[in-house]
Order: sequence, then C-alpha cells, then structure tokens
Amino acid sequence: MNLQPTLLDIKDMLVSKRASYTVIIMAIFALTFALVVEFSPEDLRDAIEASVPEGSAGMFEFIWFEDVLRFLFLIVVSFGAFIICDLDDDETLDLILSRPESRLSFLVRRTLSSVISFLIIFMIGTLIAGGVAWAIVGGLDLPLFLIHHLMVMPMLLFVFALTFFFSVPLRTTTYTVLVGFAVSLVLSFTYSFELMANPASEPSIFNPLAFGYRVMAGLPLAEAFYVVLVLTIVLFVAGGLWFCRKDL
Amino acid sequence: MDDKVDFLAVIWHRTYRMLFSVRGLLALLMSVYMLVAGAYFLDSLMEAGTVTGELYALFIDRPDLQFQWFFFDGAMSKLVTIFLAPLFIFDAVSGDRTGERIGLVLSRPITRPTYMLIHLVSAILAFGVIFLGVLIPGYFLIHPQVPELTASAYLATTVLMYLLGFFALCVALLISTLVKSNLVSFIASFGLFSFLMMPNALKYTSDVMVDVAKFTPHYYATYFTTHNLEGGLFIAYAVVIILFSLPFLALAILRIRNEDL
Amino acid sequence: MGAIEIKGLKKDYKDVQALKGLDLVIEEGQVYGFCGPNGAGKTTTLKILVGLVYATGGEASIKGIDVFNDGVEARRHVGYLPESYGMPRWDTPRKFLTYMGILSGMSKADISKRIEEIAGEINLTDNLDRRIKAISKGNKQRIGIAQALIHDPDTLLFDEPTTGLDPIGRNEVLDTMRAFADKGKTVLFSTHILSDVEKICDTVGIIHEGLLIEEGSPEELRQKHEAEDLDEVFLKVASHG
Repeated sequence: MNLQPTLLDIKDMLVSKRASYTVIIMAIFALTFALVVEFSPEDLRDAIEASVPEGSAGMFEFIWFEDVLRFLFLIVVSFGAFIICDLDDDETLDLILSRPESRLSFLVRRTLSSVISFLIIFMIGTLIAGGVAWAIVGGLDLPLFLIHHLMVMPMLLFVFALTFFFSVPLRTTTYTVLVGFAVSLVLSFTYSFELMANPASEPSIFNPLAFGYRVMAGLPLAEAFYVVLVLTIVLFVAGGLWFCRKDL
Repeated sequence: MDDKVDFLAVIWHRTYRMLFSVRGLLALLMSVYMLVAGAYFLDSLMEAGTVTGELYALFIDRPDLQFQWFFFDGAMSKLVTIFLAPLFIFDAVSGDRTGERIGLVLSRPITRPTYMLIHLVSAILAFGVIFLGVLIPGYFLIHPQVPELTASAYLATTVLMYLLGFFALCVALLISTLVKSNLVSFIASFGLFSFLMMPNALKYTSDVMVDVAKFTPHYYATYFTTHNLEGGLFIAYAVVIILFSLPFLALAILRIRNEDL
Repeated sequence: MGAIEIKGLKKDYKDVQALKGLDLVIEEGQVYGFCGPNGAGKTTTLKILVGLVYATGGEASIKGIDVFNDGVEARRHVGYLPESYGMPRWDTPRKFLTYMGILSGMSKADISKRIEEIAGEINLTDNLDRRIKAISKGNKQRIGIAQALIHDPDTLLFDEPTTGLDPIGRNEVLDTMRAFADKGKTVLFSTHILSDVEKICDTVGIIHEGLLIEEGSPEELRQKHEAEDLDEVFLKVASHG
C-alpha cells in the first residue's frame, strides 16, 4: 500500500482549521470547567467530590467526562466526515476514485489518515486541557487523565464509524455532521439520564457511549469493550460495503 | 423591504423546506426527546443524591422551580443555543457560498439585507414551529408530573427560551457570513455558544459569576427558573434578549452588504 | 439609449486592477459577444452589472436604471447565468425554479405556467421532477438557463454559457439566446468560443486587461483585420493588446 497519500492527508489534517478548532475548543472548555470547580462553594464542591467515582483521575475528570466529552463528539464527527464528505463537497471524490485504486483501499487509507490525525490532535488537546485544569484546580492525576483519554478511543472510534456510516447516503459534510452529532448526543444522554436517576447503577454495556464513563469510573471494561468493538466493526463494514457498491 | 418580491412567499417556501428536511426532523426528535426525558425522568432525578440533587435542595419546597431549573436552565438553554437554533442557520450564507448559489440568488431583485432577513426570518419560523410546537403542548405532559407548575410560568420561560434561540440565530448568522465552510461555521457556533453559556452555568457557584452572567442573554432567559414570574420583568427581559441579539444581526448584514462576491 | 451602458468602469482588487475604465454600449435587441483572454475582466463586468461585485469607479446602467444606486430595480430586468454555480442537489428542477421565481417576485401560478413554457422551449420537461444530482451536465446547464429566464427578463447576462457542452447542447444554448434577442431583448454573453460568437452575435467586443480594445460586427472585424475568422482577429488584437 502506498503510504504517501495517507501521510499527505495526515499532514493536511494536522494543519487544518479543524485541528486548531479542536485544540482551542478543548482548551476553552477545560478553562471554563476548571473555573466552575474552582469557584464552587465549599458545600457544592464537597457534593461533587462525593459523586466522583473511585477510579477517576479527579473531580475535574468527572465533570469533563460527564459534561464536556459529549460536546466533543462534534469534533469526532467532523473528523469522521473527512473520510468521504470532504472530497464530495469539493467535488474531487470522482476524480480520486478514478485513480487506479480500489474503493476499499481508498476507504482504508482515508479512515487511517482520519483516525491517526484525530488521535494526535485529540491527545494534544487533552494534554493542554489537562494542563489547564491541573494548573487551576490541582488534584488532577494528569498521567491517568491522559491514559483514560487513550482508553476512551474505542468509544470515539464508534462515533467515527457511526459518522462514516451516515456519510455514505448523506454525502455532504453538513448533513453527515448534523446526523452523526445528534445520534451521538441522544445515545450519551440516554445513559446519563439512567445514571442520574440511579447513581448506584452501572450504565448498560450495550450503550457504546457509556464506555467513557466505565473507563473513568474504573468499571470492568472487557464486555463493554467487545460490544463497542463489534458495533464499530459492523458500522464500518456495513458503510464500507454500501460505499463500495454504490453508484456515485 | 422590496415591495414587489413577495417576501412572505419566499419566507414560507424556505421555512417549509427546512421543516421537511433532515434538520427539521433532527430538531423535532431532539425536542421531543428532551421533553419526554424532562417529564418522566424528573422524579427520580430529584430524589437522586447526586450533585444535581444537591442543587435541587436549594428549592426544596418548590417542585415547580426544581422542574424549571432542571428542564430549562439545565437542559433546554444548552440544547437551544448549542444545537437547535444554530441548526437552522449555521449554513445560511456559508452554504450559499460553498455551493456557489449565492450569485444566482443575489442576481434576483432583492437587496442583500433582504437576503439576510429571508434567511433569518425563515430560520426563526422553522425553529419556532418545532420548538414551540413541541414545548407548548408538552405542558400537558409535564403538568401531571409537576402539578405545582403553573402554565403561565412554564409558558413565560418557554417564550424566553425561544428568544434565546433568536439570539443564537443572529449570532450563528453572523458566523455564517464570516466563514466560508459550513463545517467551520457549525463548529465555531457550537464552540462560541458552549462558551457563552458558561457564565450562566457558573452563576450558582459564585457571586462574581452572577455579575458576569448578566452580560449574557442566558441569564435573562433562565431568570424565572429560580424566581417567581413577574409580568413587568418578563417583558423587560424579553426586550433585553432581543437587544442582545440585534447588534449581531446588524453586523451580519453590514458584513455581507459590503462584500464582493 | 442603450439597453446596457457602461462608462469608465473601474474595479481594483487588492493587487490587481481588473477594470481600468471600461466603456460599453449595447443596443436593445442585440446579441453581444464579450470576448477576451482569461483574466481580462469579463466576469468582473458581468458581476458588477448584477451587483455581486462593487465597482471602484465609473457608471453602469441596464435599461437606463443605474445598477449602483438602484440595483434591485435593475435586476428585475436581468436574467443571469454565472460561469459556475451550484444548485441544491436533492431538489428537483421544478422546486429550484419555483424558489428562484418567488425570489423574482412572481406568483406561484405564474411560476408553474412559466416553468412548463420554458421547459418546453429548452427541452427540460422530462427532467423537471428528477433530483438535480441525477441530471446530466448539459441538462444542469438547461436548468441554469431556465432560472435566468423564469421571470421573463429583458436582458440576459450569461457568463461562458456554452463551456463544457456538447455540440447539440451548445447549439441549443446559442439558439435560445438568438431567439431571445429576436424578440427585441438584449443578450450579453462572455465566451472563449469564437465560433459561437460568429454564429449568433450582432456585435463583438474584445476586452483585454480591463479595457475594451476592439468592437464591431463579426464581419467588420474580419475585414478590418484582414482575417479569415474571429479566432485570427482575436489572436491579432489580443497579442498586440
């Protein structure tokens, strides 16, 4: 496989507006949520601390995973839309698919570029966000915070796969991002409500977007991981087959 | 306003198209979902010993305010500004630009301010039909769960939320005129509104933040989630939210008015 | 009074002077071919006439209406077809044309009637209710022409309307423009394809570096430059600036 186009795509993504917006938004979120924690009255802070699961890297991580991460799905979705929609929007998809490369190889290449560049940008954003929070709030286990973000990647890949799947029929970035983001939000709200209603409960392993909570709370991961993995593969394969057989 | 082009017919056409589109469906599903969740999860949420539960304790004798606070301040104000309202306008100008449609549309006998108003008014209507269309009848779903909640208090906050949506529409329209890509416009709107809602979210945690929150329309839109309804204040706050919005609309129109396309 | 009058038109971009004082008068009922090399200022001129680009100086009017001070009124008389343009891919031509008609101030009943009329004239009837994304390039250009004609304008401004079309499609577009002018209306179109100009134009203007450097009927220009065809005229004129 020729790695040159993949490397070029990754390079383009790393210097794109999408990348800078990701890092900026993560930093802004971290700053504001760190301020929430810092300025909280003592009794409220105590209440938050009491709710923090034992496996968490600290109070900030609890808030981050519960409130912020779901909004960051938009970022994941925007990277997922990169696979097909970017090319369709600027009308280069036909040109690229007319090269001597199979659609499957094209999809693998674009998915790899998208996932790798997202991973790099997301971890840079996490490092900055964690650094900001650590400087303001203190008491954040920064290495654990970073490790948890790496461990959350299967869940984010599921969002990727979801977006890719929707991008096959929708094609345009606008609608793909909207649908991908809305579905992710609904899935994440679903497990959140369940958890808020009964804090002692464990979120269902069948909701892939509860995987992040399980990582942070130190809950058993194996079964939930298989579910996320299977769903992700199913979505990628179904979307891929659909795309490979579709008239463009 | 141009008197020969039927402004209402244009608006109706666009509004209708938006309502029966993917975005209309998404907005409808999200609104219904939030309403049902608000109506049926509330009881258990109020009893839960979580952070939210601690905050509910602030209005221990006022289930109506507990509901208003959870539903509007905690959920709806975020959903409206971050997702629902921008959904109808984030690609208004940027979409016309990227699709190179803007030349076709502006070669018609309409002024550029009219063009912007067509986008804004149709988005206001489409958002209104879905948001108010779900929330107003939603009272009959919620009232049995929270009998203390009066229709007037619920409606007043619903209207203020709608006006908060108007603010979001004006700001998102400005963003859409400033950037050239739909995706960047959506992400920028999302980022900005996430940031703008923060002072209001922080107002429960410090007095300083209450003062900061007063510089955002969110504070006025959610005021009656923690206070008893007063007619005079309601009108005043509605006007305040509109005043927050108009400069953004003016900037958007000025921006497009002077631009070579 | 000319149907289109341009006097001393200037347009400065940051680092380029696109128009340096263009003068042009097009009489009613004429087909005017606007030729020139890439970057000569053809598109800028057309865009200024429809208010998409603001001139730095000069005057321009359509049917005697100042396009700078009364652009809306001027655009009532204009049907514009840009060089490249997008259309909502998921819409049908009928829906798209309806919207463009409403934006031109027409009633829905008139629009429906007019759509059928134009579709018949330009062979679009069979495609009116298919999604635009599934329509061929030639038929997309027909939709572009239909949106320009929908409100029955007096003046057509077409930017490279035949580029990329097959000979049949090209002839249809040329015939449409000629038929339009034969009704006493005015057509200004820019093109690189000089054989198109020879076929239908009453007058040809050659623009170079923002100035009109040659003008006349195709016959006059051939005689003046002792050329066999307009291609030769164009090469002689453009190369000498």
